[in-house]
Amino acid sequence: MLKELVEYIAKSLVDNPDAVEVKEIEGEQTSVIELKVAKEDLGKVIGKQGRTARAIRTILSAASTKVKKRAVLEIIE
Amino acid sequence: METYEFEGKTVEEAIQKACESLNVSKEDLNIEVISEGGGGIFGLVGVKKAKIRVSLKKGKEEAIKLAQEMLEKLLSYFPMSTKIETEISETEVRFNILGDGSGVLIGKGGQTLAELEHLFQKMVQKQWKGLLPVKIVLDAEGYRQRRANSLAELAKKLAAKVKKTGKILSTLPLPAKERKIIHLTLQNDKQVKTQSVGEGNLKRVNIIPLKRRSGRKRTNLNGIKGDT
Repeated sequence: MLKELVEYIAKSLVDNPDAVEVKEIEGEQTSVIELKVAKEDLGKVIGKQGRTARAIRTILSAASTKVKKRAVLEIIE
Repeated sequence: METYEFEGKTVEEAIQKACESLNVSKEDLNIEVISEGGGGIFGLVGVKKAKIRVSLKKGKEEAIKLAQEMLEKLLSYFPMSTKIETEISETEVRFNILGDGSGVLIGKGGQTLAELEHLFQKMVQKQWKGLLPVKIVLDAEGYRQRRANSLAELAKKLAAKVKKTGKILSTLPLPAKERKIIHLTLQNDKQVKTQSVGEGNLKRVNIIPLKRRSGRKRTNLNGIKGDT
């Protein structure tokens, strides 16, 4: 669920939606979600002063409170 | 519908500028010529710029439909069921998300909601490929509406106190949108003025009494709006 959420958000933001890759590494309590986008799209998912990245993280934690699991978003270059 | 104004040496140039900055082709624009360019001596002295006003032809309804579909899709990834209430006015469309009432989407002080809105606006903007003909506002469980009402109440209460005591009072630090509500609520009150003070995230609104002094007339009180 969380993985698809991040994937949908990222794909809507970038110029190259085909280059979006999302991996979920599940832990016992925490999942790490790794987001990879094309190099020229990096700024789009991070945003001015990291605002967009922060927004994605906030949405992610809002979505994960219901499943009682923590989720961490990593944006990978 | 929103309109934009552009200038250029000729009408043609202004249209071209409009197309470039709005990222659309000429056919997608309603164009109204305000003033033709030209004049001047050898095109050097006293040249008048051509001015046009344009609006986007692409429909508001289409944009709203796209936005609603995207919001439904976005919310479908949340582990709870939600319903969307849509409210359309002249310049903006307001989506009120009704969930289980737990406030997960609102967050502390409306922070989650504000960030969700920021993100969603960006997503729609990107998918729309051009300037949106309508502004998108998100709300959850009617939070924004309730908050606006209580802020207006607060503003009136503070203003009454200020008038009684003649002292300056200030609100708690508020985000820009909420400060605006305070300013707007009191903008027609002739006995007080409002001003934003502070830096960054700690900006608050001061409510300042305006005592009428004998013989001196104060004008332009409505012009004082501060930084919203």
